[in-house]
Amino acid sequence: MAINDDLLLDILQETDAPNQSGSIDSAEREELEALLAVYHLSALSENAQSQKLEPMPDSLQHIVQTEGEALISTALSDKVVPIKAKSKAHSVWPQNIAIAACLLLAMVAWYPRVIEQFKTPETIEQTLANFSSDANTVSLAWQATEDKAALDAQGQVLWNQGSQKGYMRFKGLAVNQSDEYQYQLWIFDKSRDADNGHPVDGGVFDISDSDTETIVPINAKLGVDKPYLFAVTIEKPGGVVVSKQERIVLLAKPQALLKS
Amino acid sequence: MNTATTILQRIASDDQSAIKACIKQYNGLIWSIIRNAGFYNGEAEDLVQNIFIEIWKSADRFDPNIRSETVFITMITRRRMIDFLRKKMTEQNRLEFREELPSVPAYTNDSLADAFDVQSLRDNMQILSDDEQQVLKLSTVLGLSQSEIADKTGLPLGTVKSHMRRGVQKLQKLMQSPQILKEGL
Repeated sequence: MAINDDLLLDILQETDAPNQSGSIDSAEREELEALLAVYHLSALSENAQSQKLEPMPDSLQHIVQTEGEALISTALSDKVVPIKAKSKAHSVWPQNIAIAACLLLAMVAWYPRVIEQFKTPETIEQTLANFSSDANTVSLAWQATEDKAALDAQGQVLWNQGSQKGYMRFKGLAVNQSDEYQYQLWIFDKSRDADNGHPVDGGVFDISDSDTETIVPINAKLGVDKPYLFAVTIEKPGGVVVSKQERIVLLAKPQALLKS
Repeated sequence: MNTATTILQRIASDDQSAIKACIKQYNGLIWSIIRNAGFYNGEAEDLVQNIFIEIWKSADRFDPNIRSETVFITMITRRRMIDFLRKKMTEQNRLEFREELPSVPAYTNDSLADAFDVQSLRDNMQILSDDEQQVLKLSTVLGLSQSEIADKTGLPLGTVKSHMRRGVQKLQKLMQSPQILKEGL
């Protein structure tokens, strides 16, 4: 990571360090950073006018908390169970069975996150038909905004509150280059709004063909209690933790409720 | 050395409840640092989000045997703040922040007192000359570069560099004093 602290750079470059090659010793750099941090803290408290601490605004604390919880939630869902190798003296068969079992378990755990494009269209349709037939599944039509990526876009979002799962169907949404930007789903939740929270991240996806239908499973990063709006935005590659909502392309609201 | 699990260690072990605890414990510290550097409104909020994201991602590098949590978080805050200053702000904007270092609502916090004896540190700060203290504060608190400090104070650049170097060397000696440190940096 580049150092932009001029003070630190200057001291490190001109100090009588034992390393004569001129390269920066990372341990020494870190110690100097720590020293300056301590000094900074003492300077802050030096001219104390009162003992009162100025807290960060509640709304900002909520934003930061949401981001942190989402990061840990993602980290937990990405955990891989390590498979330990046994010694050669043992039979390989029990080991192979154990490996196969772990892989199968991992596949089952990760299955909802797999984009359905690897299945045949008939299988996808059957999956959606079964999903839609659930009494707890609602279907909402996408409403395109005036964003140029959404001019010809249409489709629907299917959401099952009980299972916290869903699917999005798109046609006509502009093809994206994933290294330039990606689409990201947001689920607006009334219970989070009440706590000044932010919408729940529903996952990042790409559109490779706008002429044929694309089906994307919804991957909500947090629990959704009272969803009232689904929105698709355009974000940087990899998505964001909190969207600035500068490019909203599609919205799905209860007013457009369709019988599923 | 305290062997209780720290907030950052809990975050590193994916304990979601530690997120709220971390914010509750350190929101005032981080907010005070960036507000003292002159950040407000949208920029302050952007910066705070960047800082906390780095805290979450760096939690697994925290070792309580090396330094206190307060200092670790302050280091991250300063790094992000200085990066932000260098990249986003023009030189003129930064110099216009303050005519002098502000007397702002104090940062006083139990966790700071746990890290080292603040009062002793303040008392011994007089080993630094007024010039050394001034240039160090302009650099560490406001994030001004040495050339900017030279412009602001009227001191030659070489003199600014000398004051900073001597000031840091004195601080290093001071910080090794057992009267100052309770748990180390």
